[in-house]
Amino acid sequence: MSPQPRMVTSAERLRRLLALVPYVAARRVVGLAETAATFGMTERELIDDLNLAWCVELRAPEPYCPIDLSYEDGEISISQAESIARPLRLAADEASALLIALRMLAEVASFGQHQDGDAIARLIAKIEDAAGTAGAASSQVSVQIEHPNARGMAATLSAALSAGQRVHLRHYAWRRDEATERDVDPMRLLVVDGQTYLEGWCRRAEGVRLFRLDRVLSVDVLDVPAEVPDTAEPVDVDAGLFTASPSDVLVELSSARRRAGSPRTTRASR
Amino acid sequence: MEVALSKRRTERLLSIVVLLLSSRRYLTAEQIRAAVSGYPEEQESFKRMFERDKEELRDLGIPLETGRASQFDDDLGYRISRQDYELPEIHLEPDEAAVLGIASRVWQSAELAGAATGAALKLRAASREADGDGTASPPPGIQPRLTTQEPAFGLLWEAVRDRRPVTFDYRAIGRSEVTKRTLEPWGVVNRRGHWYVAGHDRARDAPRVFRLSRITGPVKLAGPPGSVKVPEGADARKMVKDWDRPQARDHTATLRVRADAGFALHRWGTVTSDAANPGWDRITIDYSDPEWYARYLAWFGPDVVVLDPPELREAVIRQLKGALA
Repeated sequence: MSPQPRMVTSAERLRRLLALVPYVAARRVVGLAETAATFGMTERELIDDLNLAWCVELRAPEPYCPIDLSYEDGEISISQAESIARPLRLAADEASALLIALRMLAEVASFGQHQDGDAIARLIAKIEDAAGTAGAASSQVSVQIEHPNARGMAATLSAALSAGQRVHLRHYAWRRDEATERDVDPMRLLVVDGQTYLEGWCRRAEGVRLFRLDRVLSVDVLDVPAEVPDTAEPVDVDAGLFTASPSDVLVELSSARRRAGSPRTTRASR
Repeated sequence: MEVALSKRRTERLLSIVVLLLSSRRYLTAEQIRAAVSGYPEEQESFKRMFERDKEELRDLGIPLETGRASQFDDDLGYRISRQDYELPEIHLEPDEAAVLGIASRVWQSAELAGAATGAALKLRAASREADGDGTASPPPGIQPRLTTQEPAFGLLWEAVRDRRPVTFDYRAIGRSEVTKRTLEPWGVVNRRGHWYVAGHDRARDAPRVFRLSRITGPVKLAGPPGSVKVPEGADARKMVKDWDRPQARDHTATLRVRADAGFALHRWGTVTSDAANPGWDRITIDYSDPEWYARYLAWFGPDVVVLDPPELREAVIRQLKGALA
């Protein structure tokens, strides 16, 4: 996720500054590049923000500059942050977005037998505590993950992933209606749109592939260390699992005989 | 030009926050104007600008209080209480910080992705210990993503959060006509990757579940905040689960399937060999919806022949003829 230059509104920028100043102030000295990465901005944008904070001047009753900071040799430090040394409370949307995501993580972790479960529970408690009433609305939204078949599979694959072992998959290729056998070096387990996938380096295809867990017929953990090549690029799921490309055509499927229902729209590649 | 304008505005808003946080007294608009650079001389445009600034600060969640500046003064003043403004002390262990990194990347929708990253930044700013977290190399494990492609999501979230009723047009499953619904939403639920809203349907005077992808056109807020009362014990999660219960597979088909094809049918059906037809298997398999299943079987083309029941056989033949037409 490389930060892209875009127009930031004054409200967004203020929100960012009110987190940036306390972030640096709490750390005495912090790397410029590291801070820019944390805040998802370029170093140029970060320096602009620092200059803006430093330029703040109150003229009355006596003129003074409340924020004093410096950056040099790739490091930032804030010697005076005045009244904004602590971050602003979480807004309702912020607290809820995080709590919903964390509860979803907790649900996912529970079937993956993942050791994160404990850390997730502790973090949820801390955020609920810090957010107070701002977090209340989060209980109105919930995400259910159900993997009747994938549950055991996810646990096995999660273990192989932590141990860095290769797996042998029997996988049902839906499009071709056949079972395929392959050795895979696991990279990640993903849950996208309610489906769980194993992402891994497929030794048969010599490429990164995603396997839907409910279509994996069986999995054997091999006594061989996984070797994911350095060139293996994880699938960019942040843009949605199936990214639209210019060669896509939009197909409208509608059937005259199906009186009921709406015309269905499907995106097909090429 | 626009960039410079926006920059001056940010500067001005930041100055107001610093000023009002450091003052114990309420400061009047005039006192704020005197301390902060960037306001115009002309009174009317100052007022307009100041009003907009206050609104923007409140939108950001900054607790701007109003009160009388002094007992001798009729003018209203403003201040920000430190206690209401500041995020309470929070200390994150390294493993919690790593989890925070994963959680902040779960949302893929415009509505809540920004909110989640914003919240994570505030928490990391509040906690020195959050350093060395998982941003650079997330620990192995499961990484979930939540998308909200349904345009209705944003407003329904707002409605649920602020307890406001909504109206929308809805096309129910198996219906071609669209009906207008008024709903007191109780909760939004994602189940198996689909979003649903559950609540009280006013016209039907009963609890109902709606799938977001079947909402056509815009969702409109239809009442003031706080006007929806969620009844004690209402469980949106359970309502959606009950609604989405898979249909019973109460039909059984008998098929003739080419032995080297129809992998899924072989795996999930009961296979007996077909002595009269070498190279073919006889498979019995259960299904729920005949129309849907006919479309599925038609997909296998010449590798599958339906023997029974006749309705399913007819439906598959119609499908195949339709494909040729």
